[in-house]
Amino acid sequence: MTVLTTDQEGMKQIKHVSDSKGTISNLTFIIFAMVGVLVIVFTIASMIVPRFFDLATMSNLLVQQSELIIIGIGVTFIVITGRLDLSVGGVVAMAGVLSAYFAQANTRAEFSLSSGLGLPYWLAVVLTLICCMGIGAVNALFIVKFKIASIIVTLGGMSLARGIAMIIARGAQRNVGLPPEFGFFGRFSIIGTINLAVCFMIVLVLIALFVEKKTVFGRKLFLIGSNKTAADLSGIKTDRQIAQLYIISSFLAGVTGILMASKFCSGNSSIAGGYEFDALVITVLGGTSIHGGFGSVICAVIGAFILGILSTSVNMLGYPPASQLLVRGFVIVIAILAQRYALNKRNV
Amino acid sequence: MKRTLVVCVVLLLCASVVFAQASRERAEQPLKIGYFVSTLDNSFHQSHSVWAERYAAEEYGAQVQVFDGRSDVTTMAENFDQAYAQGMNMVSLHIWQGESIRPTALEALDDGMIITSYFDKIPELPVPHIMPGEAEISFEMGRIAAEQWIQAHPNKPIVFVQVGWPDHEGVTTGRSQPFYEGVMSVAPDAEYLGVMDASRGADHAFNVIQDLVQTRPDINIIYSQADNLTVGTMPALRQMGRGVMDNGVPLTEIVASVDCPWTEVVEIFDPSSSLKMSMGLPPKETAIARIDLMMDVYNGKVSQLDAGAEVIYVPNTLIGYWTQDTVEEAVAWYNEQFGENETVPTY
Amino acid sequence: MGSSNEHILEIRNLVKDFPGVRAVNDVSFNIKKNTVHCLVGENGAGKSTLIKILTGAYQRTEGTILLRGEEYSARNPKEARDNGIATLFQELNVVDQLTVEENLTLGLEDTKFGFIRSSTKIKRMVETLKDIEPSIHPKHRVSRLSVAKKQIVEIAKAAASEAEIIIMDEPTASLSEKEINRLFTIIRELRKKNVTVIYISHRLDEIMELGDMVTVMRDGKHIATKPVSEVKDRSELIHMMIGKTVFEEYVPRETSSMEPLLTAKGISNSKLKDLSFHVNKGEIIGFYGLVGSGKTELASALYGIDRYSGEFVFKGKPLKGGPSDAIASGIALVPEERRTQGIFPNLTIRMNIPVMNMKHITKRNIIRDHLDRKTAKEYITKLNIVTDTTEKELSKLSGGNQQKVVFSKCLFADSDLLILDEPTRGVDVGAKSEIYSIVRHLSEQGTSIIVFSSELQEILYSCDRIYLLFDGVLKAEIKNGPDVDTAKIIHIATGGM
Repeated sequence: MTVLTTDQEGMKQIKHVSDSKGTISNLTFIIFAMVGVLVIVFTIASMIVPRFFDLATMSNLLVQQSELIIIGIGVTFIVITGRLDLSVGGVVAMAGVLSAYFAQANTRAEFSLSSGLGLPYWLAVVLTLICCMGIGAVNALFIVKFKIASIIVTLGGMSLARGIAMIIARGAQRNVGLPPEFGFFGRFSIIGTINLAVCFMIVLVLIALFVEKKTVFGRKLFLIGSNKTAADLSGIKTDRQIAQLYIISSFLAGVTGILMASKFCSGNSSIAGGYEFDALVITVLGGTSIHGGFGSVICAVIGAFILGILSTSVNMLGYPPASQLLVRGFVIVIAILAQRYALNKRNV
Repeated sequence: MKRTLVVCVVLLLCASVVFAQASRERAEQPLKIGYFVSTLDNSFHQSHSVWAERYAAEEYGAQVQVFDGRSDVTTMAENFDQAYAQGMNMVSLHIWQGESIRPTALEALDDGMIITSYFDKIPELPVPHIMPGEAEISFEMGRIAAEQWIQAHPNKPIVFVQVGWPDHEGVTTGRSQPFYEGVMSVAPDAEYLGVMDASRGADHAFNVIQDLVQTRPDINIIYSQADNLTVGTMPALRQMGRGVMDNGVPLTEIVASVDCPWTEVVEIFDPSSSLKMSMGLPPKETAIARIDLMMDVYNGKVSQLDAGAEVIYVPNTLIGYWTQDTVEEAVAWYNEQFGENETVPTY
Repeated sequence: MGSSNEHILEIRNLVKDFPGVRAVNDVSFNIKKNTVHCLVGENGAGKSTLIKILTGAYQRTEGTILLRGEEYSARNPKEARDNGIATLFQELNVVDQLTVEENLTLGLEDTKFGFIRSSTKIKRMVETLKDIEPSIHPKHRVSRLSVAKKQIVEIAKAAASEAEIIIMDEPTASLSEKEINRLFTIIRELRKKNVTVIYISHRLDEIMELGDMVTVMRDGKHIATKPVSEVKDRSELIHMMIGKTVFEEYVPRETSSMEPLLTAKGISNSKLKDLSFHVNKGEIIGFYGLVGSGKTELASALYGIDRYSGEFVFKGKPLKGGPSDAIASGIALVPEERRTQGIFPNLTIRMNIPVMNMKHITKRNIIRDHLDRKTAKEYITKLNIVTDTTEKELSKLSGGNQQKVVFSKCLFADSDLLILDEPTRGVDVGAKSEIYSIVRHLSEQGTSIIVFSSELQEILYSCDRIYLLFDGVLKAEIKNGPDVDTAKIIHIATGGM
């Protein structure tokens, strides 16, 4: 009962199926391209900015970008799933203020700003992180349960967290009556300016890269970002994973906030202004796609250094703030356009 | 219809009774003063409000009611309407964008209410105005910093920079420009690097200072234009192995700050820190000046409306390692002004 | 060959190169005026590329195209339209939020001082539509129309804009038999009105029924162009297209003795009305019905996506929970919409295949690279997925190969019951036949399979028992065999009793 028709030309040759592309994958390609951009930016800065090409500048850069990169890890994961987290800047401020408030001595009476809960510092840190994860949980609830667009929800989360910071620090800062160990993380220095935030950043990036490439959790990020419906139908609990991501992102922002507060010995409600957008910019600048399903934490690291070199150069040259914005905007647009162009060209 | 009429009549009666009561009370009661602050969330505003209540009661037997603007333009305007409705005899305003209250204010002036303003002028309403006197303190800090540097390092030319708000008019006239002039009055050949933007806060100030000091390690005087920037400035310097002094003798640089919260008082008198002075806002003097100004108008010493009148400045206070004789003196000043009970730190 | 002026389109030595591939290789043929010219070939044969050159989406590498005897080249789709070439893509180009009338005139609005004014053009559009399909009201919102009617709106738009050539790419892919017949009538009408239709389809029966001329392409090359009347039968076409084994005909099996695996008792929801049926172990069950008969809804209910009342008893236990629970208990679904529900388009084959059963490639939630790669390679070989590497993104595979990846996903889940919702939609003949043999093979190994399809041929090729669905109601159960009365099946499935 079989209809058999054969044709010599139609015979397909059995080919060897390889593991690799022969050429590199799109992601590797973009990462190399952005490393190229980073090298170019670095070279130009070294040529035109006096004393830029110096070990101390490099170590400053590392310190200055480490906080943003820690936040960038959570944001990258969320962007890979095709969503946004704009609440991180607010959470950083909230974490800083709360950690100060919890740890501040409760013996001073007259002014509310100098009197806190007087908890031991370790407990203050733990409570702060729990509060931060609370913000993440609120974000997750609205995004996952009520299906509201993440950009709207996390904008709300941003105001909520920043608002809590503002209320508790009365729009200013809490830096009186802090226990000596409050400044421990900030004072901790390995060599030169390399501080604890840098160590944390390096460890967290390594963990994140492992999670992203080698774990089921990481694989699911890409699956959700590439096609959430298909992921649902393939039995992946996408809602749970997304909720976890928002909590992780807020947790990382909380860690950053605690580190920054420790560095400044102050719980400052105006800190990390614009961090939510900076974190998004470094993520996208490094090559992670805002449409989801494509990207890597390493992209955020590269993006952070590109951005860092720019602002450091502008600072070192003493240019006015307006030109700083202009240069930043220009480079970001050019870099992202170049990325898209290169990818399109490659994938015709 | 009938019922409405009855209600109206009753209301009218009630209103007239209350009004009569109110006008009778006005004659018997002490002077009522409306004391406006932009926000009570700020410890300085909180302190001078407390001082105002105390001073007005002790000095004039007057009763002060504090109106908290909550950093909100609408609340501030509503506060004014309420102060007028409550029949305040005099008010000292601290209202942002005061255009909207101008018509009511004119009406209130006709009614005999005394109006003065603090910090923010009410546009086109030339009532007596008080400002914090920042310029002379900024000049002083510039001068002292330059003198001390030259004394410690006569061979190292002064290179100085300010971090804060390059484009803010109030900051420029009160802080940037006079500080620059203060340094230049001592060292006319000093190199000035200008005002760097750090308006986004402590983290911004941290990065800017690191980058600046990296590119110009010879920077030796820094004016950090607000206390929430100074918390970034000092750690940035320390991370780069600077920010320290040898028992009060400058090594790398001299830092000046603004606002002088308690943490800065402590740090200024720490002989190993390079933060050596700060411009403190004095709550007590501010309150006294604001109350006195209203009383002066009340007693006819100052005219209520005078387009040509000069702004009255309440001089700020310079808290500095080289200004006060001892740390005890500074601590005593702080405790008195802010009603605190801080103890003298040990170093 | 006749004189050249009866040819509306002449293609001469057309070549299109992509990096590493010659997608169209020295193709030459002519298209006669006022004919339905069919274009057939396996996926990847070069049909789509050829069409995209005609419509201006791609630029040719070499060659000439003569339109009405004159040199033709379109730099973009608009230029093609201006030259009288309209296209009906598989993804319909209508805007759901607008009315039918607004859709018709989209892009052709006459404006005066920035205001849209109703013009003769609009009237003509509406008239054309009325001629073609009087049941579509011009003021209705497009979102209310069925896929078939949306298509008709697009055809009306093309016809009214005086297109001389209308290209139709798989127009019947999501239509029911009745709608297909209606579409064919419309196409025949168009032909009378001086329109040439270039018709692309995988369904060879349609071509035999509708076409005047047929061009066969394979591997980018032109194989033959001849009148359909001269084509002996389907297998001749198939021979030209692929030249290898096609469908195995159904061999009746005795399945009633098999033990039951799934029993459905009174499944009801807004779309389904009290459905009860059973599936035995190793059995292939077909649900046949038109679009809208409730097939997809039943699949969704069974898989735990949609709510329902009633009960599915699977392996003796009632099913509850969502897809993840269904998968855990041994059910896998090949969804209806491959692109939006089945594949992860920008991820590689390697990342797509193990999705439903990550446990098998991991140890303590950490992915074992060698298992990951081995799995991908295994299924590429097993299902004959055409690719040179496991690292190819799904979006770069043809529809048939994408579907094979979706199958791999489900097979890797190691399930006892496989739900196939329209498993061969938009898949070329070769891949179709391969999919049928996979299904057969699985059932022989004891996996039960439920096929939901609106293609009767498909159901008849593979299923042991057939349930007929109409409007959410189970109308009949038929044992498949050589004596099955297809006419009667269609009669029932279209609402007859």
